[in-house]
Amino acid sequence: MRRSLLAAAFVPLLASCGGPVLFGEVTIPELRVGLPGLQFVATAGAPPEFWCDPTSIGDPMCLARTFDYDFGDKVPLADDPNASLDLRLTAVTISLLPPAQQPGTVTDLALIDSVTLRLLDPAHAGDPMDVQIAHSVVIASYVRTEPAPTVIEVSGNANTNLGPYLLSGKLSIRAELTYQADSDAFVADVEGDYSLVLKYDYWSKIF
Amino acid sequence: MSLSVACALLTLALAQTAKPAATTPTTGAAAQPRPAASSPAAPGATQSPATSSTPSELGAQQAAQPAADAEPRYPEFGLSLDAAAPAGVTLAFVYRPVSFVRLWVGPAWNYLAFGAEGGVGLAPFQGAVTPVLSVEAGRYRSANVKARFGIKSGTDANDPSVLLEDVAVTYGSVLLGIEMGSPRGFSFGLRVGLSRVWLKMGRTATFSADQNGQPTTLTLVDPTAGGVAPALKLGFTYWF
Repeated sequence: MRRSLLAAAFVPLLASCGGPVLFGEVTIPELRVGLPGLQFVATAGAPPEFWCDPTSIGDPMCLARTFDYDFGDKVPLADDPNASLDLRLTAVTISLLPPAQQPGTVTDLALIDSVTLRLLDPAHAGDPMDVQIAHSVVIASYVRTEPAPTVIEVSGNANTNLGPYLLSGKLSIRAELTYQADSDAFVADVEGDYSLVLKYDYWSKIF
Repeated sequence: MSLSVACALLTLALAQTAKPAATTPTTGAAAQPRPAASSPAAPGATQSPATSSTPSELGAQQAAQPAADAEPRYPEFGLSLDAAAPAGVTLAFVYRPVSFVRLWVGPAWNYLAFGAEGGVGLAPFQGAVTPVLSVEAGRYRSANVKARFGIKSGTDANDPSVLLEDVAVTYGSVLLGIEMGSPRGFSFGLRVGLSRVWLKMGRTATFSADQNGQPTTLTLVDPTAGGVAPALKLGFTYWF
């Protein structure tokens, strides 16, 4: 009874605002996830699982790599119905390291024609890759316009909210790099820029 | 000590409430304008005008009647001292342009830093106990929360407490409550409501880890924490 009265007193004050009445929130306008010194394999001799289409190696000249981030034990609010997470990918930057730090002869990223980043649906994690791709969402894409860049910036799709995937405990991002011709192995720093809003509705938790 | 002072002030506010109506001219005879009550003709005011007044005096009394019906004037200025959670302590200069509106602004302190608060309050009628609806907002200077609370930096390179070295608090509140006491003198207020709070951290924190053999860095730039929380405000106002 007392709780109901308390609720009745407060609800009108924020009725027009929508959303939870009492909540805690963390906003990070710029969240950078860096993978320094990430190794990209050479196209020649790459194992079949590295090809975008393992049944058609070399055609197209496309190598893929999947990054799995398992947050199940790191995000304390995973699977909590009172938590909501809005995570948007702003951009991904691939910065080639200087020639002295390269394992091969690569000095620029001219051989990369395009880059596509896909978010794989965890619900289809056990399915064949073609099924996973069919249920994936493209979250960033790049088509080379400069002749010989050393830095590639892949613009993110700000309309896609990655939050539900993260709250489910796992984030699988597949990067597909299409080459113009055979490329040597190279090393680059990869950085993903995100924005994040984490909201916890403790009003619903209490009442 | 502070509790004793608060109790004394509350007692004073209640004493103001209990004063005779002549000092709180909000109803009945108390609403008569002061000049009429203290004029030389006042001793005869209890007698019938028909037996004690000349025609010219009657005309003067009728002319004074609209002034008696007019809203009594209250002090326009006041000084308030409030303690609120989560807002802090505010010493404010209060201005009452019309009887049902209060505007205030003043310095504030929340243990971490000094700041300022401003607000507007609406009191639909004046009396010994008056309902008040207020909207207020404030902002505090950036503060080093680590230093204020003596939090030691961790030896780990991934110490997140670096974010607490530069924290600026901003808030806005909607409060509903009552004021007890005299609208001409001393009053005590109690209000409850909701506050929206933002804690902006002006530092960048970088954490590094090794995930499946791959070094990974996580950098947080300008994070903000906050939310909506219940608010409580207690305070005293002296009108002069």
